Amino acid sequence: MFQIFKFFSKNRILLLFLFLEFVAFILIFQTHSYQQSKYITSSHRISGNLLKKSEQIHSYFGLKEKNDNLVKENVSLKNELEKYKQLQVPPTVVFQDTAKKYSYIVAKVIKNSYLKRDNTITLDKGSVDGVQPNMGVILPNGIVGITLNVSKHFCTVMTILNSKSSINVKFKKNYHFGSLMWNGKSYTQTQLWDIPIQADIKKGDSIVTGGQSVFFPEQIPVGVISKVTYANKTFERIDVKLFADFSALHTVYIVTNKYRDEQQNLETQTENE
Amino acid sequence: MNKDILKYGFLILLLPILQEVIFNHINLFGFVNPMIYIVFVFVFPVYKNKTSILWASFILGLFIDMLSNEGGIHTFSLVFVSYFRLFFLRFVKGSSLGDEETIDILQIGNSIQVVWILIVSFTHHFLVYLLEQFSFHRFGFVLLKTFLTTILTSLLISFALQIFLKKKSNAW
Repeated sequence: MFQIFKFFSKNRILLLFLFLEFVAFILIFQTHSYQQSKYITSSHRISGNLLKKSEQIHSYFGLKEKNDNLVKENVSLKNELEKYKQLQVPPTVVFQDTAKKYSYIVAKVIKNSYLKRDNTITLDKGSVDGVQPNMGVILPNGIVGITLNVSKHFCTVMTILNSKSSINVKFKKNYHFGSLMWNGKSYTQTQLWDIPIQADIKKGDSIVTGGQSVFFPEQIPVGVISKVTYANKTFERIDVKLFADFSALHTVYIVTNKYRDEQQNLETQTENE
Repeated sequence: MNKDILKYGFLILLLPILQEVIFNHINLFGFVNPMIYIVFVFVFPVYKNKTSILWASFILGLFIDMLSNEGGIHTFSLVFVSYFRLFFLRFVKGSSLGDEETIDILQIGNSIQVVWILIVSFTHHFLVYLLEQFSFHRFGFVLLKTFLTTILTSLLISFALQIFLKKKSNAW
């Protein structure tokens, strides 16, 4: 007994060191499981507020660039409008949302990351704004990811640039569908998997979200096929160039699906039978 | 001692803010951001008891991890280098470190200090990027990122120590 006590008092610095490293490692390990740590995260109230302040300072320096982008967007929207005026036909419905299934929450990105293997971003909307975990996040021209942790005023989003992300997508021209996953190399490109070989695909084909996902509405544009490689009469790799520019995320839309829980419950119930 | 608690407590609050507001937005070559918060390991005084630096760097690491949303990566790496910082110094300086309890980190000479900062930064950044990757996949890119970030961090920290501390070194 005395020997054990002596050992502990002699090596207490080493033991403290090992203990602290062990705690840190547990925290690292938790971020690699689906349920993230609730405390050491940027959706925490204190860090969230600091990130918001930091974003405000940096967005002030980027005002000119944002202004230019808005002007460009305005010009392109006006051009679109002119085209519609000339057509003289009622505009087609882009989102088929007959049951008023989806509604959108506008949010600002206050912390962005796109250079790591597992990327997450932080938004300035939280549970008081109606955000819950596992909601889709989109842009007008692409998809961003799925909400992960939600605090009162902030939430974190697992982007599609993450090893755990897998999104159901399909081709715009036909109904072949597959999964969108990222190999961690370039933040402008992700990869498409599980496409049957008989699917007629070529460079330049558009990819949109499929209807099988409970997170995203159907037909949201994702990207175009930039490269297809074959091996043994199957697709070895299909690269998809993303429409969304992850290095310049600013305003995003969180998708709330009114019937999400109902659909998920029904699906798990059916699987269990 | 009480004065030190205030001084380094303030530093623990200040460094994450500086890191997040300024140094995480450098983006040199598109992906190199210096981690200047590890300056803490170099300025924290050498006490007889190592408990204080371990706890202090643990708390600082947690703050950094909260802001960067990376679990405990920075905590792990910072505690690691703060435990081994005198080991690295002895390695750089040779056996003539003398009595560990009385050495003044600010008076160890410029060249030794720079090499020490380089080695500690390299170890820390390597751990951070390796844990971030969480596998040996793309090991070359991890090494490249570590090299570039180490150079940038060490340059900034060496300059900062020259400017802010050498002037006051009599008062310390």
